Amino acid sequence: MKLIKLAAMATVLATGAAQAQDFPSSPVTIIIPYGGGGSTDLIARALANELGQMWDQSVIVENRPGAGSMIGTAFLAQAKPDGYTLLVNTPAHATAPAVQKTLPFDPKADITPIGMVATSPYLAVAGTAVQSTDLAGFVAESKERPMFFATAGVGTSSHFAAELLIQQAGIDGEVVHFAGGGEAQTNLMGGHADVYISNTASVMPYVNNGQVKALTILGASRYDALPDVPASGESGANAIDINSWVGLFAPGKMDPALVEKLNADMHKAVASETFKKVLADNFVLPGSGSAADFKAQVEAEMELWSTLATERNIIAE
Amino acid sequence: MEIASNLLLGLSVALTPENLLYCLFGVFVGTLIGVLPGIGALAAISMLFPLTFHLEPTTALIMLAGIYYGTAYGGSTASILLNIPGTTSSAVTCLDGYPMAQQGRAGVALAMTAFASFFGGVFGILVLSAFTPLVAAWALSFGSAEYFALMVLGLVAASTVSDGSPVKGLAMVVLGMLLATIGMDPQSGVARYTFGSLSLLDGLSISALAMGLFGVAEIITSVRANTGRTIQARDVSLRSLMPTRDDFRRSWMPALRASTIGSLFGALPGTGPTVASFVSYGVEKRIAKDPSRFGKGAVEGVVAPEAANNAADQTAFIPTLSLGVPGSATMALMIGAMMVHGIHPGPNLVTEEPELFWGLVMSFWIGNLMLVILNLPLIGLWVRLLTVPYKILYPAILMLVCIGAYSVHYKAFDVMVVLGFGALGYLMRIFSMPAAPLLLGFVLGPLIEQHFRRAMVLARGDFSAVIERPISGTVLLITLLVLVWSLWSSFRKRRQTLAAATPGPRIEDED
Amino acid sequence: MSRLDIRELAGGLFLTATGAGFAGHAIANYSIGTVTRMGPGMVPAGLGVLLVIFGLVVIATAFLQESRGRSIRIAIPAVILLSVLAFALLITPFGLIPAVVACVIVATLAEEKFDPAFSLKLAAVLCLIAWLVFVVALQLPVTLFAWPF
Repeated sequence: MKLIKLAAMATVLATGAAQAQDFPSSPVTIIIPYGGGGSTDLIARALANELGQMWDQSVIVENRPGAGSMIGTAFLAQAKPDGYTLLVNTPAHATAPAVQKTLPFDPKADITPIGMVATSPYLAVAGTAVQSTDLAGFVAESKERPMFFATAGVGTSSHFAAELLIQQAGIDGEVVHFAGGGEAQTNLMGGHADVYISNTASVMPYVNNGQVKALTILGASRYDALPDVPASGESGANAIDINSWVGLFAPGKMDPALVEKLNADMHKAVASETFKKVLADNFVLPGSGSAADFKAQVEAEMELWSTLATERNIIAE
Repeated sequence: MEIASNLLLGLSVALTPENLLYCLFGVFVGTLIGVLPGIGALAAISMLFPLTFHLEPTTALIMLAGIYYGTAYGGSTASILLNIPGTTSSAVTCLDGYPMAQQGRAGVALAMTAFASFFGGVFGILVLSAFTPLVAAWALSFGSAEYFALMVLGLVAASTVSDGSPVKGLAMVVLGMLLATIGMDPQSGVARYTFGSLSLLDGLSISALAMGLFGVAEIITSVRANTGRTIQARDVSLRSLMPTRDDFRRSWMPALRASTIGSLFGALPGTGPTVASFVSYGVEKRIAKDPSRFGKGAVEGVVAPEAANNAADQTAFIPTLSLGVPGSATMALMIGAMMVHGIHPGPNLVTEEPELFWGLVMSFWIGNLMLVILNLPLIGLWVRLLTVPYKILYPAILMLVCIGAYSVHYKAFDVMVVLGFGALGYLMRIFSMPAAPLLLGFVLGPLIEQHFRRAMVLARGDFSAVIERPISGTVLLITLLVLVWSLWSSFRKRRQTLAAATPGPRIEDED
Repeated sequence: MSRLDIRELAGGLFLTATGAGFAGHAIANYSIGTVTRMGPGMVPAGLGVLLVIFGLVVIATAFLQESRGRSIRIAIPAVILLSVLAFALLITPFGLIPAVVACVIVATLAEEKFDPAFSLKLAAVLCLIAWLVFVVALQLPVTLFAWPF
């Protein structure tokens, strides 16, 4: 009996390892849960390109937009965890479940986080109606004229980051929801809303064009890629220790050996010369850490946003 | 002079063999996509998007743009010949285009829409070339209060779109607005009428709605309908294909007005060719000497929406190129195509990448010319398509509609939406309720609601702030005036018809 | 002798019921808010009420008109809708080709005389066209054939 169990275990381990070794032997699909052309889309396509060259297999990219990335994620959740269906997402993966309580899948059990592709702090940019150039000045200005925080929509990371900053920095402000980061920043440019918080990939193009001002990054200390932008920690908002990221995901219950292989391959792809350029263009740093590290971070963020949602009464009914 | 040198620079870029080839390819694919009901520009551009990574940025944009404005040329073909819109922005063209086809003037309608599309396109290009920085700055000044006011004006202007009972027309607008509330409310995050369905969270797909309401419903009505559908081949002589001088005379002012309206809505992110087509049709019908001609084959009813949607497609590039802000999902792809090559659209684009900007602008001219040249001879082909027996045609259309709906999200759900709206559309025909106003309400409703609520948030609950802002205040005033004028003129008409109907001593005309 | 246009009446009832449905659900489930701070329920409820009013007007006019006695076709709408349903049901499990074939064959059932040979030929041709246009030309990522079991 013991021998049979041992043999069974050995077979499972062997096939798992064999699966990981053979992978990939046919085309892989990476799902992007957003419409084409956005910053996440372009980063994901670059990653797909790199992986494709590394694996000598075609890595196809599929856009499946909707429900704040939940439509694409729902599709991932019901795919087989054999590594041939993957997904690239931002912290929307953690913020959307905090607002959408009736998802057709379990965001923790049905999804396997593989690793962090890139990371950057959240950057708050200010529009034409704002006079100040740093957080301290902004807080003071908000006492005179309550500020409007533009968001890309209810339950987006820009929404949650705004709520976090309002709470931590003691700003007199309220959120205004727009349909996407583009509309949010347009309103900033037109002076209708005041500030927008998002990852560097989304906002830096507008900062570089001079259309919006980089106000502060959300974090304890300055960001290497943007040394001239003050940190919110410098103005006393020290409790913010959360960064934006782009991550790779797979369906749940994936074989650990395969998870490790994907994590390792992903890091290799990100370290390539061509991908370095993509990182630099978007003012993001390469992600690091094992799949377990990433999973822990994602789940911690899910907790954080869920708590914040309740505290700040984000889910209207 | 600077303009001249810019245009020459643009021409030198646009006229390279590679760019010409990709332009031709783009406009050809665009026309085909436009003609096919169910599949829209977004699907085609999404599919060809990866190709752009291997092309020069200017070439990539020329091709994608060609597809985009190309669809606005082809969309009217199915509207006129089959009463089924090829693109949502051509839905309004069904109203007068199809009656024209039934009167044997299909060729005329197709020719006039080709000319109108060219007129609108050229107008849009001129606005783009000469006024981009101005228009961009003006678009920025449009906050939610201004959008709200403009959308209300658009609703009032377009509300005359249908014939028949005004009560039913308005009821359909309201129904359309109600259907648009299905989904996650952007201002509060509450899921309205979704009953737990994730697929409904983003609302009903407009193309599935339009295909069901106009396409499937039309097929249900027309199958075995014995309305003399098949036109004999010999009826389609070359002369019958040519518009008369009268047609042209009637058309150029509507084309001009519609192009202006189209340019306006196109340049504002978030609104576009569909709204423009409705509003311009409504405006023409209102100011026409004999509005009763509309809906029965008035050439203005075909020229106005087609000029408007083409103008809107061209000016949609203004916020895209000069602000870097996508006004629609399709424009987001255009921006993506630029970003991949490290080009960041924005106010500096015209000065930093003049070859790209002017090359693109000149390619628009060339593309529009190509489209007119492509489309005019094709008219004979399309009209001959009418001679194909309906029993072969309608399964083909059903198949196209199904595949088109499926291709939006690759989910059977969207096909079910088509089914639902097909049933609704047929029901509405039984009840004599017009479909076009429903589409109008569906498109404008969310814009009006969201912008109003957001304007209220930004004004901290003070509606007078909306009225006091210069642009929104003026627009609301104009809306009020239009409402008053239309109420008064319909009142006057009622009095006239009553006076004519009642027998009595013969009084010479007083009015 | 009653003047009643049944069709108008039905239309009016349809509008009233739809409006009441939307408004009722909104009032029961979503917060209404105030005019200046609208909740998610305000607009659907308001529009629903408006639709009810329009529906009542249509019902009223139904009593002022004669019935226009056109017969309503049931079979054809059912067949056409069934054809769309066939596509929707088959596309995910079985792929594009079976879905198109089903859609086309069911659609041809609407003709007076069902001609299986014609239906099959038409289905074959349309499958070819669908493949050429959507898979070859547009490169749409649809599976042609699938077997879910």
